[in-house]
Amino acid sequence: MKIVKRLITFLVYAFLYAPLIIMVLFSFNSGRSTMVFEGFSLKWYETLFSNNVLMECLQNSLILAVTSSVIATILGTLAAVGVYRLKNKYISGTIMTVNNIPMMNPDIVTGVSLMLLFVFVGTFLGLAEKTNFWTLLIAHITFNIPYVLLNVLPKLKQTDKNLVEAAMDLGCTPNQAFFKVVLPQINPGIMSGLLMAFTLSFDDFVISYYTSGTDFRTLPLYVYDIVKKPVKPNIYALYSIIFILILLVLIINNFVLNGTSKKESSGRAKKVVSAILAVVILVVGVFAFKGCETTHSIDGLQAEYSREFEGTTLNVYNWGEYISDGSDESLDVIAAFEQLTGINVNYITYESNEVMYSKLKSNSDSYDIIIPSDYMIQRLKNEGMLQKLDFSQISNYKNIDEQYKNLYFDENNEYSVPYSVGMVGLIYNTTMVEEVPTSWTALWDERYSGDILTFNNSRDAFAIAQKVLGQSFNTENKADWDAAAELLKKQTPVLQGRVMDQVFEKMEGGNAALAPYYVGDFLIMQEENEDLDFVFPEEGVNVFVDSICVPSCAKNYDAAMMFINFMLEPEVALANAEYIGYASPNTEVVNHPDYSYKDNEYLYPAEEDMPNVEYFYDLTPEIRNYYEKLWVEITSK
Amino acid sequence: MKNEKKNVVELRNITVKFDDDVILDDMNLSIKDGEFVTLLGQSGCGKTTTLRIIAGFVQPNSGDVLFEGNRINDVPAHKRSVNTIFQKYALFPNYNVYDNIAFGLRISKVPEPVIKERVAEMLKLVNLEGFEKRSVDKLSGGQQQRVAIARAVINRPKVLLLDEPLAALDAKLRKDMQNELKNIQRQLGITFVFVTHDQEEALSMSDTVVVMNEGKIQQIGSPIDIYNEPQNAFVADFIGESNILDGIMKEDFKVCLDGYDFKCLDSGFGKNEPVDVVIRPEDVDIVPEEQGMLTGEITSVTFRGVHFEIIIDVQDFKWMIQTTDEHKVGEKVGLYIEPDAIHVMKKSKYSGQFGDYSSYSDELDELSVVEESEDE
Repeated sequence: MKIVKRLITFLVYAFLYAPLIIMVLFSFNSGRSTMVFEGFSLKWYETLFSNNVLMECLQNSLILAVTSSVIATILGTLAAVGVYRLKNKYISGTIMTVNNIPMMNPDIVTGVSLMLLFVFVGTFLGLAEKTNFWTLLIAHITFNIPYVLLNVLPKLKQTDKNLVEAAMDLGCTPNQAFFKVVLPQINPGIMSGLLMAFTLSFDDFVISYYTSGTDFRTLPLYVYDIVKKPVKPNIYALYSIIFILILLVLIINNFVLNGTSKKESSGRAKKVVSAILAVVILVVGVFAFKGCETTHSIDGLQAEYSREFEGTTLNVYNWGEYISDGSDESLDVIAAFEQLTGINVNYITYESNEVMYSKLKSNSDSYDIIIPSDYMIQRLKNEGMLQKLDFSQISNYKNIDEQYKNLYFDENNEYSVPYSVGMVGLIYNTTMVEEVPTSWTALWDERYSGDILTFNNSRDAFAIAQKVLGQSFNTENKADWDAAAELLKKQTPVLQGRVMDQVFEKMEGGNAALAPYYVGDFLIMQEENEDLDFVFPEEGVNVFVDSICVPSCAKNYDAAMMFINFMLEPEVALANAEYIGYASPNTEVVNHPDYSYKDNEYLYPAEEDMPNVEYFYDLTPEIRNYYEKLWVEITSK
Repeated sequence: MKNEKKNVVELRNITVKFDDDVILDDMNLSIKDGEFVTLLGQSGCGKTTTLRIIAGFVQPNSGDVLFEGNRINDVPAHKRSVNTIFQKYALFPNYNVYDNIAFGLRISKVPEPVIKERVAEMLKLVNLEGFEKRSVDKLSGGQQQRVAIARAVINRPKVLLLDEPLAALDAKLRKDMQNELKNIQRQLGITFVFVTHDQEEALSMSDTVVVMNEGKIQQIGSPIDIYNEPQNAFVADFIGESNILDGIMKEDFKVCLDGYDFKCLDSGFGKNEPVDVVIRPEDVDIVPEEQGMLTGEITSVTFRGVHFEIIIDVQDFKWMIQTTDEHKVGEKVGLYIEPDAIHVMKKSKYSGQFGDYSSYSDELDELSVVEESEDE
């Protein structure tokens, strides 16, 4: 029995801590695999500290967490004292219930309602940026106060009421009595409230997501944006550091709380804690600034860049991990642009076209640059949400390959400059298939039953069935969608699963034979598993172009033009193409001698290997709703 | 002698209500300088509230609080020159012994060298020399009590208010502390207003005892007066053991109990006025049946160490008698009462509420059961 009990205890703790231990372990992995430990290395820590965007977000998170938790602690403590002094039990009971509701409330409700409030007030006051650092700070203070109150109030209740009277009896004014006698008694509660507020604020995502503006991105927001691609181990490194810091703070805090029984030592111990905390924050802060000191020079600029916009702030809204950021000794594009022009780039990321769209629609912030995909550009253009570009200011536009000009979503090339091109294809594991697949029907092949993956994303999944049926992706005929849905339902029995990012692990680890995915991501997988290969099925594939646009809410039009021109500079475009891993529409890149994907058969198929391609168009809302409904039916089986 | 001294605290027509509960009902009390006054009563009688009114923690709904002749109703607690010793001491856990004692002087910005001197003086007074650096929660109950006394007394208050300060101590320590408090009071000459529910404590320590019940003062007097001449059945029952009987005052110096006329020392009642009669258990002699003024049967005998407590049934009234002679249950005996053992009181609202000891033996049984179980 004893052994069983111990085993259970052991298992419980193993489940609790194994994930953390594995994360810390793999942060020291010299490879990027999450399955094989290839050797000890600190390189992810190096890339972590050389990633300026990430470091700035970390710094922001710390600033926000410290400020909001300190303010919330002061306000929460005052509130606790107020509630405690209330004589009427009904009123204090009501206040505590009102206090507890926001904690029970799902974060999303709190976040959305705060955003609505900020937008409403912002509109009322005529502010351009309705959400910004201050709204974020207010939101964080708001959700932290109840937790502080809940930590402090019980300590107040435990405090001997006679202590206050004793102090007043000995000549203290009520205020003196509070500071000299009550405060030391409730200090452990205040400290744990502060710590709780700090950690809640530090890792809050949902509320921050709705209440932050363009000027201030926190770490959780950043991390969420980049998970579109497989998480790089530098994030493991970051969270290992955070985990160990929190562990340290908790250990010290416990030591202090235990130390309160030994009065003589507690004062000193508290000072030690504050000192350690201060040092830790300082060190992280220093690291955060460290990266900014290096110079970023670019050879052979083709255009002139004036410093006439020095000091202005350009809001750039892009996909996560979609620009060369200085990691792995790459060029830090943003830093280089800032250094060259003196413009401050405020770089914010999104994880899908739809998120970007709703953010633009919500009208809460202004963006100067966005990089949406083709069909979204079509939608934005049709809704009048884009500005025409001034191509006279974009001399490097000549570098764009002719085949990417005048595309369907911007027929006269007025609104967009192509940034990155990708295609979907079929990834397969050569050791697991009997012959090289050439058709999408391989994804229905019963021989590979249980080894087949497909997209967990309606449009991409439908696209495959549509090509098998010989339809267009953009059919507006509901019967076509019904037929495709029928086909997809038939696929369900042979599927191992519908996945997005998990496809990396599955395919790299040899856990699945076939999966459709984007070509750039295939190249990353192939680096990890040489057995993987890629084919463009004969029925045809989806091609997509992400292009740089300027939304109609932009405030710094000329600076935005300068930024677009800069992005087309051969060295810059090369760095971005290398970093992103998709095909570049920039001829200077494709022909560049240093380009590692030059002549890559998958990114740049030869004329005769070029698959049948089709773009996604923006469908009518009616069709969108129709196929989304079908998709729910398919996936719910 | 004491009458020459001035009143240091006076309460005039004080009424206190919490919501609709009347805590103090039109109370009047004068406390003389240097006196040791005890407010005695059961919990809820208003004694602590009285103390808190003097300290300034409770505002009376009506009435005046006077300190050395000046009305101080509107003076906040921290500006009154009284200090309080709280029931659970209320020492500041975040300070050590020295800092606790020095607290009041530091608040009033007394220079540190003076503080040092006076704390040392206080530590000597309460026999805690060498404990300066101790943490207060590492002290025993008695030691904490001494720190609390020192912390209050160091401010040289005119009046020291003590709210059941000994309630948390065990019996032996309580006796010691009673003596010590009394000594401190004599040495310093401070007026003590002491609150307790323990009548022995009240009788042994005080110059004046104030017996309170239901927000009203029942009797004010010296401990001897209170014991020997209780003013009503409540006081008689509350202070010590008493047999309280219904009687009829036939005439001056003659009271009729159970149909038997007793001589007594009381006078001034109306002819044939119904009265309450108090006879203390130790004042009744047990005599052979034929010599007794009253006769009855012994129903219970309890050995109390110094004496026996004997319950005697006389015409269905259970008398308690304390005697050093041993008797047996079932014995038929006579009761003999001297005239000076009889104390006659006017009828009051408490008449009939207290009386005989018919439920006494049951109570005792229950008590002994509890004691046994605790021993196990």
